[in-house]
Amino acid sequence: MPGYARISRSAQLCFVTALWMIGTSGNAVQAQDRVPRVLLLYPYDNTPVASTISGETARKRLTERLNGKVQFNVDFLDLLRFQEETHRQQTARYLAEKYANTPIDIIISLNTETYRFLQSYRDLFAPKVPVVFCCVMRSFIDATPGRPGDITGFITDYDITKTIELAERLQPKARNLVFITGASPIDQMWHQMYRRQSAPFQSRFNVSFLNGLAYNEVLRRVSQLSPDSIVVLGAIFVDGEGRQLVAYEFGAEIAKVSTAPTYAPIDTFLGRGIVGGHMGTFEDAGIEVADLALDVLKGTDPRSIEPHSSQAQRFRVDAKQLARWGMSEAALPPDTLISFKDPTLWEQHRNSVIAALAIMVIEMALIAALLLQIVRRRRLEQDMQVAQSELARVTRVTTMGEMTASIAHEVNQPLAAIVASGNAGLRWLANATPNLEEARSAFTRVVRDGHRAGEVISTVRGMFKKNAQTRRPVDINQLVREVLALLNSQIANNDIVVRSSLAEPAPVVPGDPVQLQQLTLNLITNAIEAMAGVTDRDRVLRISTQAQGSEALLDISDSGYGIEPQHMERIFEAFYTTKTHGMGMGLSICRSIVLAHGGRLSASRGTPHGSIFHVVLATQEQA
Amino acid sequence: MKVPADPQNVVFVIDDDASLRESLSSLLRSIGLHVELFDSAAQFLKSKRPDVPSCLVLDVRLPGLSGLDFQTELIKNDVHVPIIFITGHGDIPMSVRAMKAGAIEFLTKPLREQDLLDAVQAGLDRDRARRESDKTVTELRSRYDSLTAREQEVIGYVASGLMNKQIAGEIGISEITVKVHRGNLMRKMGAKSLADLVRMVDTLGIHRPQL
Repeated sequence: MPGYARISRSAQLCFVTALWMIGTSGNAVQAQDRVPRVLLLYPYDNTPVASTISGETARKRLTERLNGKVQFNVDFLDLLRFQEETHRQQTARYLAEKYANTPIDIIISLNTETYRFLQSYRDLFAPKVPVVFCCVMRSFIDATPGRPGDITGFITDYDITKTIELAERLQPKARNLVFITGASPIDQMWHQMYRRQSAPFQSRFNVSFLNGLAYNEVLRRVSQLSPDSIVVLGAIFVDGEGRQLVAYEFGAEIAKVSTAPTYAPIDTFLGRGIVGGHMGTFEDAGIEVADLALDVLKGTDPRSIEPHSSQAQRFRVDAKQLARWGMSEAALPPDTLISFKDPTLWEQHRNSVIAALAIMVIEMALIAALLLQIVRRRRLEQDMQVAQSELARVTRVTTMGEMTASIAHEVNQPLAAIVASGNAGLRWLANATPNLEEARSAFTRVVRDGHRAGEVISTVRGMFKKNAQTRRPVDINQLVREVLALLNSQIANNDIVVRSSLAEPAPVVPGDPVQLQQLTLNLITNAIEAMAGVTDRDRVLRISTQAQGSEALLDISDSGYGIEPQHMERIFEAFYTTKTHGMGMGLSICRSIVLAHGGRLSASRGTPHGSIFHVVLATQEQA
Repeated sequence: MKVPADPQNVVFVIDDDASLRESLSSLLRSIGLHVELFDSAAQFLKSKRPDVPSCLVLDVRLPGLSGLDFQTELIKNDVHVPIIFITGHGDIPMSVRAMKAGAIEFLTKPLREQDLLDAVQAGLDRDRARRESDKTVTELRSRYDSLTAREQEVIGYVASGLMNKQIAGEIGISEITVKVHRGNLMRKMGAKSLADLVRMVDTLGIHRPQL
């Protein structure tokens, strides 16, 4: 056995010691270097009824407790199919032969039938081998005295009183009490037990027994019960016609057709149609008997243990049946175990729900984080836009200022020279002896510098024309919006109302965006300044764009005091200004820009107030 | 009109614009001023300038060194020519800085004839006065230098108003000797009175010890 080769020496020693102790206690276990051998005796066949549940649980329990160092032998006695005594004898002989050379250390008996078999035949095949049992009906123990001392275990008290108590709680108006049992000897034991235990209820109920009836007869009878009946099922292994039945299957059939709620103290019936009962579970029974077997294997003398009642019993109900009969959970005894409850979404899909929730939380966190990021980015973008607009404004204004300063200087130099030369010439002529030569050269310089000033202006115009190749489509509406954004604070500070009516679709002209922005900026700034002194009416800045044929129209009007007719002719001339601090260059530059784009710039008086500047630009590239 | 070979005064004009330079020259010459033209500050510094009352008409916007920086440069180099600034677009801080540094006037182009002529006249007058004052100091300095060491020692006490006896006590010589020194130094300095001497001492910046 390779598995045992691995056991440490000390563990082996302990084990040997344990076996020696078992041996000296007078049991069949000899102090040998081997694992304990357990014989599990099943009463019937391998269909998963109560005893197979207990047996399987016991086997698992022992394997677990002994760390696998246990060997099992299993025998199915088939006592239901063959009820004759000869079958039992044959089986006992067979077992004796089977285990002649394979000593058994302990036998586990799984119900009343095996107990009965062992009581009669144990000594034939396993003399003095201790027996631990479970699930033996008390009535059978009571009915069959002469139990050998080394056969001990757990007695199941099928306390039908408590089951009926449960039924009364759920059916307070019930008047009939019906007990159903089969025809086999063990079924009859159940019938006797029910008859005995039902005696106290005779006064309150009409008690009847459907005992040992044929399969169909039972079903027919239960289908005609009045609803105020309590049906209690017992063991039904064989019907009145000798038909072998699987007890819980028949129980299920009865519960299905019954017109009154059914109950039973047997846990294999639960979940198959009965409402409930006071019962243990066959798993618990298996655990109890396995633990007892362990004690015995460890050296406890089975003779010192009296058979005692199984403790693992309680009220148990089927939630689906409560619902079927419209019974209230509130009526149940306090510690009732409710099984087969429709699991809630939570119970059914706990992990999925947790996972889904976790994913949702993570998703929400991610979304929140993303939203936060978006908000932050938006804010940054806005800040940046503000900064950019400010920069653009400053750049425009600076460019404008620098340009005009530069132009002013360029024009001022010849002007200064003209004035100085003029003065000099006059003085040369005014002298006592006029110096005509000096005067002539002075006036020659006047003429020369006059031309020079004119050239400066031409140069300025040329400057705009030079940039003609940088043209690209410019959205006039967009242009207006940008400039309004640039001048936003100025508009607000001056209490100006902006009324813009921008054509849709937006007129688009080919042009130099910077120059056109300069143009629009100048015109709107002029309009704002024109309304600076207005206090007796609203300061309204009107901006409209329009597409007309192959031309785009941009009108900018103010509600200022307007331009005097005598100025109207000259406002577009360079150095002509009606403003206190003006250079007289703004409109001149505007006109230069418009002309460079092959357009027209004009002004007219507004009605009733102010002035309107009309910009007309071609929407097609000029040749 | 012929420009005198040895002019009584001279107006320097520095402007990078030849046309304006010539126009200003013509205007200033028409009232009998001698004019010298320069197109840059560097050219002006390199030139040999006559030692007569003069003033400088200077464009603020000069290529290279700006007019204002040039003014600072001149003061550093102990060139005390009065400056009239001309500019295309002067602003207040610029003019304040120029005036604080001793400019005569800050004029904007185009120049008003009278403003320019007045400023030039004022500049020449100021330079003439400075030159005379400078001349006096030089004369006094040479007289002072002719004093003996003891006389130079005594002159401070005399100017402080001390009596001979006190001076004798201070420097440890006899009262008679002090009296001789006093007579000599008054003569050598050409001082007509004690008050005259005090003024000379102050002009020269000689320390007057107080008791």
